[in-house]
Amino acid sequence: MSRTGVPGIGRGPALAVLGLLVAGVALLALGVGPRAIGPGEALAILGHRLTGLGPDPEPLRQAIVLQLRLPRVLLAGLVGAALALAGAALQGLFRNPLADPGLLGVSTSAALAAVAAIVVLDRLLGGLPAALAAYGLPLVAFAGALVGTALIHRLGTREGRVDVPLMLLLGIALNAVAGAGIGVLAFVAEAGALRTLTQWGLGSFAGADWPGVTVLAAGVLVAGLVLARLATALNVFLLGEAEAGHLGMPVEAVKRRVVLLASLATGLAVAFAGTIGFVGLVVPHLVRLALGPDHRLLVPASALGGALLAMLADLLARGLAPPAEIPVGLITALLGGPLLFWLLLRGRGRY
Amino acid sequence: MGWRLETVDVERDGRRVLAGVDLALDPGEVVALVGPNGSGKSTLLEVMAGGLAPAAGRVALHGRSVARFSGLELARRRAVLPQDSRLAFAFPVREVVAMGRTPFNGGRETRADAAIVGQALEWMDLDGLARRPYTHLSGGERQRVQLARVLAQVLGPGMEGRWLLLDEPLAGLDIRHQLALLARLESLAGEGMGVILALHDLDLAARHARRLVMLDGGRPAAVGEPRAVLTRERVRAVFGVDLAAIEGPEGQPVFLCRQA
Repeated sequence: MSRTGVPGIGRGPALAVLGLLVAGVALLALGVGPRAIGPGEALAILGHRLTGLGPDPEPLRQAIVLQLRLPRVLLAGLVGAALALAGAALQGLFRNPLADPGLLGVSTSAALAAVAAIVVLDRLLGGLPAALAAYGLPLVAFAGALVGTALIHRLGTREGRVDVPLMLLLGIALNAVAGAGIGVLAFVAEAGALRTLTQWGLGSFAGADWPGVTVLAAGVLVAGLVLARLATALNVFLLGEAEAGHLGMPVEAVKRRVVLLASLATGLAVAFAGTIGFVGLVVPHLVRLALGPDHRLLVPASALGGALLAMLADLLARGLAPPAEIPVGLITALLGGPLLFWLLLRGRGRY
Repeated sequence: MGWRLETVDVERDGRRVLAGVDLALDPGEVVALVGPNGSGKSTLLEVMAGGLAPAAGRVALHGRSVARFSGLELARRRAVLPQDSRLAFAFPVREVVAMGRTPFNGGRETRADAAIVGQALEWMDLDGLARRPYTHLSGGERQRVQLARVLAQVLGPGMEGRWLLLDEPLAGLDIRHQLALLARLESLAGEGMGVILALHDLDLAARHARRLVMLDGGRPAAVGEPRAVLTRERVRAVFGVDLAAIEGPEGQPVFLCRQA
């Protein structure tokens, strides 16, 4: 079905507009930095790299675009997409629009696992090999996110009903415990590891490189495609667990898959960019407001919207006060915090 | 051949809520489950629906144990309206109703599905609300949407022999919609569908159901035609109220309850 639930907006056009916005912001972001490069020139460098056509670009400017800025822009976009997918998945799982990997402590659990791995490996090996950083850390962070998600879901639901206040309080508790764990690890960490650890707190896209972007892209693609395939099941799931079961849905299997996917997406995002809050909460919410709650549109639109928001946040982080870089988590919090206030106040009386 | 329950026991939280229930219900007539709060009406519907496994005994549909059906097979044979459905997301009414077709189309709506959804919307008097977000509706309107969703699940080719299991379908409906729903259910049963509903209003149950199952403390106290089941002594024993039958304008009995 092509309807979005909002009169006049089709599914295809809605996704096309979002896709164009993502491409546009990506081009702008390629140009921002100590050396300004216009969108036209950035496009020409990209086109030359892909097709070999056109005049040879200036080598330095080409290197800046292809080796420094493109991985960073892609990293920002992919992390944003991963977080928004995780948010959409968790909100479907808990049948509640307040679920978010940051609020529920899933991101912090992933970060704790990754930080533990960094500190332990640093002790054992005296440093962190690049291959482990690109491939090992995402796996460890995924495992940490999985434990966090499963814990909140197991403890926060009773007889197929989500206890929303309990779910949010459990998130606070998990955030506190995992955050304390990170603090303890930072306390015992060597100076070298400590420098790696500081980026986990506020989130950063500064560590972008091509191996990482490749792993991340593959993971986000898998998470997005599987979640998109579950879209109809997630729609039915919103009616309630009993109702979904009566409609023939394998409720337990779907829940397991959603838990896995949300953890995968969160783990990936945290492994490559640290904990960045609010993207998972804000993006699916705005998409629902604009396009309706149907997961067949919500899932792809959230992925694109998450990419858009994270790239914009990174653009602001790099462009607002050059040459200084504002931590990107600060910007998403500044954008998302007030929105969370609004959501809670609007829903007052319902919870 | 319909539902066959043989010595069914159900336990919830260590408490026995159904005890030794024997019941045979066939399609083609409206069956009403009546009984006081906590007598096991919802549990009986849930165990028939396959959502709850009995601790002992056998539940069979068309000669086959319900436990041996896959979820999808059951979903294509019966639809269930639970009490108190919650949906916190602003799906348009029509989309909620269309979810009733997912056991048949996996979410990809065909023209036939659209026709069935339209029929269900019309029957539940929802034509004017089809595009309205579910979350903006009143309680009674939401109940009609859920009813339309459940109807959409059983309508279509092969509907004879399918089943509607409805837990308090009249909850929240105004009297016009209550009567319209009951009339619709009677006509569907007349076409060969099975209709089982839990009701609180003994008079409506007596007038619109062909058969009553009166539950008391987790077991059937009586099963049969309404007039045979609704005796003054039995209603006093089960419900603790005084039942009087008066003659209605067309000579039919009207059942009135007073505090005992």
